[in-house]
Amino acid sequence: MMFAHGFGCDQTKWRLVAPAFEADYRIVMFDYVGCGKSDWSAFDVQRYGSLHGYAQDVLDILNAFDLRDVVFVGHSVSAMIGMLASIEEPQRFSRLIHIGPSPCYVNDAGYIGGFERSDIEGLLDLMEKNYVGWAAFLAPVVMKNPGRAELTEELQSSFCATDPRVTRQFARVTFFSDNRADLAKLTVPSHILQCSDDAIAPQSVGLYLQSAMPMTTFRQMSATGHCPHMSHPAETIALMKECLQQAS
Amino acid sequence: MKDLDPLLDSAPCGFLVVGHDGLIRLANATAAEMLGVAQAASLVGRHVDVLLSIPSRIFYQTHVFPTLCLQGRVHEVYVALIGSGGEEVPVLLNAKRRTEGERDVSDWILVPMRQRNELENEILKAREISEASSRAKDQFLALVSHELRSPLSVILNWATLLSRVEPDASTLKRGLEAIERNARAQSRLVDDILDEVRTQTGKLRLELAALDARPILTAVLESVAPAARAKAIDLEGDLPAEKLFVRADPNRLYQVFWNIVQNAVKFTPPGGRVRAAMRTSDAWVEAVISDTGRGISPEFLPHVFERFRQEQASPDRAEGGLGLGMAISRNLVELHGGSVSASSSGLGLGSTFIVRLPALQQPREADVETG
Repeated sequence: MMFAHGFGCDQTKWRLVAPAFEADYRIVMFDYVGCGKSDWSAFDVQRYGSLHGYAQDVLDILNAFDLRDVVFVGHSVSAMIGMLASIEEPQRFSRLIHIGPSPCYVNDAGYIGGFERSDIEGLLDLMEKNYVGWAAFLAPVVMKNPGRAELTEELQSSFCATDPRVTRQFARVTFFSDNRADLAKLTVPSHILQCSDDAIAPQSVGLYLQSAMPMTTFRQMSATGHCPHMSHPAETIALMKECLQQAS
Repeated sequence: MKDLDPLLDSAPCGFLVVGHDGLIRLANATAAEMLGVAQAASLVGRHVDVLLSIPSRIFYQTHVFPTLCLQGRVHEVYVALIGSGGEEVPVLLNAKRRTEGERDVSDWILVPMRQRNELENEILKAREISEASSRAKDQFLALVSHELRSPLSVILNWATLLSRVEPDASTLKRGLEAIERNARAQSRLVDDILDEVRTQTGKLRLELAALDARPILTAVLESVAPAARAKAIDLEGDLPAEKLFVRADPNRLYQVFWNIVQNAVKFTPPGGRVRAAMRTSDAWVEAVISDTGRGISPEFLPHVFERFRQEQASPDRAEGGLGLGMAISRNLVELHGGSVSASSSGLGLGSTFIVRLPALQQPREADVETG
């Protein structure tokens, strides 16, 4: 079972959920390049210019350990990343569990993603502000002390902070991606867990996905917000187990 | 709602208790005041999402909330609240999670930061400008290298050719002329770059003297005449009979006029007209250089005198150059206490440049530079 974190943090987000599956599955967790404790120097602006670059991270890990029959659990943007990876190499996946997914965050004709482009630009500005201290004072310290793990640790204690330029690009790629056309290509069975009152992936998006994705089941969670695996781990675990039982 | 301690209610910062479900459990009077809400009680039961601007809402859901869950606290997070009138209220947020009965709640402290916010916006803007100017300098360096190399390769090619074969008289003449022309072009580029550096470091010095400005413009017209003739451009001077005294550095004034007249000839198609007139206007001596050339677009007009700026009307940059001439000219004219302006009715409609220098009324004979 592979857990993939969403935009804004790293694999530590899964710590309330992943242990519940340790007895039955081999658990694989990772940080995307540019997030958490990944090798920041591996960040390549070209490769990570679209979600396909992140999907390649997933496939690289699956290939490196030659993993098959993988249950891929993707939160937020990782749902689409997992979907892209499964379209690329379907034989590696047994099913996908999407938590709070959205194929397109920006509104379009006849489609409500929840945001306007200007909202996303506003987010990028806001992130820049929240990272201004990082960029001005901390980045040079870290860059000059590559061996000093505790410095990196200290930085991560703020927002699992990564390099703000990298985070900015991840934000851009996440929120400006439109994967609606890819949904129909999915050949691996999937399950959607949709939160109530999710400000990032509204109800309309869940309904859209339900109708556009082949071989999927849809579950409305009583959990509110965008991070049920952190705010409501018990319900998240229970629903995931139900999905898996249903599958077998 | 529980009654708040009066001290907490009126504390000089907003205070909220937010439930695990995102609903506000408690709010103090200062928070209500910050949001333009009359009663703190009316905030209770509302979802924090709706109090946040949309970008702040995304940031809260993807960054702040997970961090609160994992680490129990967040510090100095910049977010924008939405006041009752729809206005943005920038605040710094500190929040800490705690357990209340069986449930997790978080305590929020909100500090308004309107002034600091503006300052930080300025800083970010300044950083953008500095990054843009650093990019412009990189482009300029690339351009300089390119512009210096072109004449240099012509010189080298001719020098190699002339030394290898026994050239006939006309080839020799052609080669030497090409070498001289290109060496002069290169020397002008280097002069421009040095002037630019001197301007930037404040080391540009003028050797001022009282002088008649007319002969300087005449000399420029004579020097540009061959280039105008080669393009069949009608180059016309219109100078008054009386002397027009200014206090100026003659070499620098020559440079200014040359830059403008030479540009006019460069950007005027064959068969066009370039006219250079001089006149007095109130307390000013004005040189007016107008042409029937390709003109300046309204978008570019405000940037004509900026450094490194050239209008991209010709995609191949057929005319070459560094984009420094006009910036240097303006700087020189301003050092003389004057001004320079450009006007154009648009692309293809010609342009007019006016150089204004303070007129010198009755120069003492000893001051006047002759010849």
